[in-house]
Amino acid sequence: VSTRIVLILDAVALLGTWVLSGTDAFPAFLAALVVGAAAFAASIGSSADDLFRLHVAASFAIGIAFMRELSWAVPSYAVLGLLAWKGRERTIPYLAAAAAAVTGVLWLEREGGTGALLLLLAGLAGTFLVASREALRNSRFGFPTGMAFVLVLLVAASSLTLRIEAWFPQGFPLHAASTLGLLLLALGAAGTLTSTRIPTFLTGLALARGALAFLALPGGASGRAPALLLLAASGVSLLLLAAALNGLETLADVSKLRSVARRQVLTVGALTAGSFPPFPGFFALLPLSSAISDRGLTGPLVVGATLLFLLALGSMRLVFRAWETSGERTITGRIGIAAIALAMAAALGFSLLPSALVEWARAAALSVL
Amino acid sequence: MPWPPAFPILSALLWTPALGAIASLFPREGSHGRGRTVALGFAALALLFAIAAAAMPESGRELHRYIPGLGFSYELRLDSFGSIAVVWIALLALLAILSGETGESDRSTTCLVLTTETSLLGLVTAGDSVLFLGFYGSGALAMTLLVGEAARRRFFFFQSLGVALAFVYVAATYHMVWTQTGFPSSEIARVSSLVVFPDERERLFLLGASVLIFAAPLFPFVSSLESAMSASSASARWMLGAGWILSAPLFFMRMVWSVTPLSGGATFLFILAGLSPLYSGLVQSRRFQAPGTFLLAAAPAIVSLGVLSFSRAGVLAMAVVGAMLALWKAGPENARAGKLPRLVPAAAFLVTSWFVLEPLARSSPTVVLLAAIGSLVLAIQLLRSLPPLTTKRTFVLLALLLFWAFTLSHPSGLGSPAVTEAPFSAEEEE
Repeated sequence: VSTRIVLILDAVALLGTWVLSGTDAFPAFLAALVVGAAAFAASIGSSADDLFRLHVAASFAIGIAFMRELSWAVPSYAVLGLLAWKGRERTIPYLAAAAAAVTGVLWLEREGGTGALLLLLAGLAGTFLVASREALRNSRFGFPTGMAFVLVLLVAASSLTLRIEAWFPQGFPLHAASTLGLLLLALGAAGTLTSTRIPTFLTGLALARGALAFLALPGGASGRAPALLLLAASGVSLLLLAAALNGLETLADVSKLRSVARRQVLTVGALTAGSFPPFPGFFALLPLSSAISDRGLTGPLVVGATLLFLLALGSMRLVFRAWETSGERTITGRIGIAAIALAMAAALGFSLLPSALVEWARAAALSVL
Repeated sequence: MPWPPAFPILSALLWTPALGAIASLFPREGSHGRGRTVALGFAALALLFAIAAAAMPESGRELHRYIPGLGFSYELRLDSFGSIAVVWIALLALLAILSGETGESDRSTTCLVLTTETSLLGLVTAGDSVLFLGFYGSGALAMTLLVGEAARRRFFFFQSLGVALAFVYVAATYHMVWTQTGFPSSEIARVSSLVVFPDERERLFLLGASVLIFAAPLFPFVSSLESAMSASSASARWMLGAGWILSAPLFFMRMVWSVTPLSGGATFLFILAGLSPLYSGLVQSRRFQAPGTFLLAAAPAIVSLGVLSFSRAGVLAMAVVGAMLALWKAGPENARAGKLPRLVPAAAFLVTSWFVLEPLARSSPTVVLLAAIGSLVLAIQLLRSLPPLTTKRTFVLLALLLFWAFTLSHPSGLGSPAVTEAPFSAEEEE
């Protein structure tokens, strides 16, 4: 009963984001992603405690999307990350990264300058890195809920970074931001290529997709709408993967999946994560790369394309394992109607109605300021 | 708007196999043959549409705005080369489903064959580079899942590298169109009207050539295609493999030639393409396990030379030879068959190679010499290693050859140079 009430409230919230999209398109776009992720986790099945934590985190993220004061938004983001903790490990690196972000904001408000912006961006990236690792660690939440946490963090971090770039265009460290994005993308791609455990694999994918928000920053105003489209595609792919991989421990387990629908959902999720054409969101890379080229950052763009290719190879590891013909398929768990519906909605939404999505993303990008 | 509206024959042609792929999945597990029958019906319907589209001159173009904000459109076009290519592709797919033995023609294989058909038809007809990329990616994935499991990862590596490089090329031209015209557009026709400086042209050519080298693939990567086909026992996979050989050359024809007709990097590409058949012929006994795989491994090089020699007949030639080889592979060995059927593939290979190499003889004699020696060695290997074909399949093979000969004399001008009449040119747009 409680799950049904939560889902009804989520549906009402989604309706609210649609109503708000006419006036406050940017926060409405991000809120729709956050509420969608929370509703998806609720429909897959989570404990009441986990759902409560997730929805509190979602409220924080929506609040951050609406905030126009960095001095409030960044500490809220640091608190939001703490909701992902169910153990006591790795709190020191998280607190250090959060402290760096808060120090960056304070420094920015007192003196301004590129150094402060850089410290702030590094702090945001660090908190996302550690908190997303913690949310997916050892299946404490179950992958769908853990991944919903990661998405909430990702949306909050992306809204902050896009606003920072929009508010400080003069002193914004373009090269440093793209280098930071490339580092995160390299780390994520390496994780997907080498990991044998599912939590590490998913963390790598989430990190790599999160890095796209940093890579998009040098694109400026023209790069914001494609960045939001990529964020939406990332959300879809990570949630689908989390649902399809739920309950598995290692990548080898993927070859034991029996359900064809589950393997199909897994394939859609993995190929979307690699931005492989024609899967959702691949077309957003074209205007994004054009916007970055306009700023003369061809070098980072080429490196980024190479790393995305490696990410596609890494995500294909799942697809190859899912469609292996040798060996016995002993894992009988099904995928659930919510994941199939999300996969179909994403495929149809991005292929049949992309124009409406692009227009909403453009309106959101224009209202960042 | 005219009423009744014109029948969208290109869309019907393109999406019929995709619908068939979905429909073939519906019959239950036990009703094994029903899915194949459904697939056969859709493949036959697609062939009818292809013939109708090739025969109707007014079936030339369909245009719908897809994402106006980003300049992407759903645009399908059929030029004279495409009108023949679509018939060939539909024929290959139908033969691929027909030639599947029991056990091979399971639902997933049939579904993938039809998905690959849609992708190949999309590559031929796409008038928008984003649409082209979408079909290129879906085709590469479907082919990856079709080829043998042992070689799947290697095959995907090279194909996805080709897709990634094609993506970078499209991104570069998209950016150039945006900056030069002031609005975004991914129409292929606009690419040909770009103003490109010599250094940019050289870079773009090398980028496009890299797609051809990795995805076709050319020497020294031919073994990736060879290993993929060696690991495939199903003739359906061979048949589609023969069709997929066209994908990277199609990218080169549609997207690269229109920007940069000839460049300094072309010599490098010529040499690689010339070396590929020679390499395939010389190393076949040591490297290539399945008889005949060396020919399929050499086919992309001949197709690429066909592109470089502006010969449309050459572009299709090796797909024809690949189809014949696949047909031969599907047939059971027949000890009573004479030596004549064995001669047919070798002779066909030499004839098609002649069509490709002859136009190049004056401009690049060294490359032609390399490729000619390679072709001769390959023909000898064919005679030595292929077992004889059954009489029935020999007739089908001869019918395919006759159809190819017919396409040479087709009024659409398939035998004429490929790029003098630039496909999807700006003039055509006007």
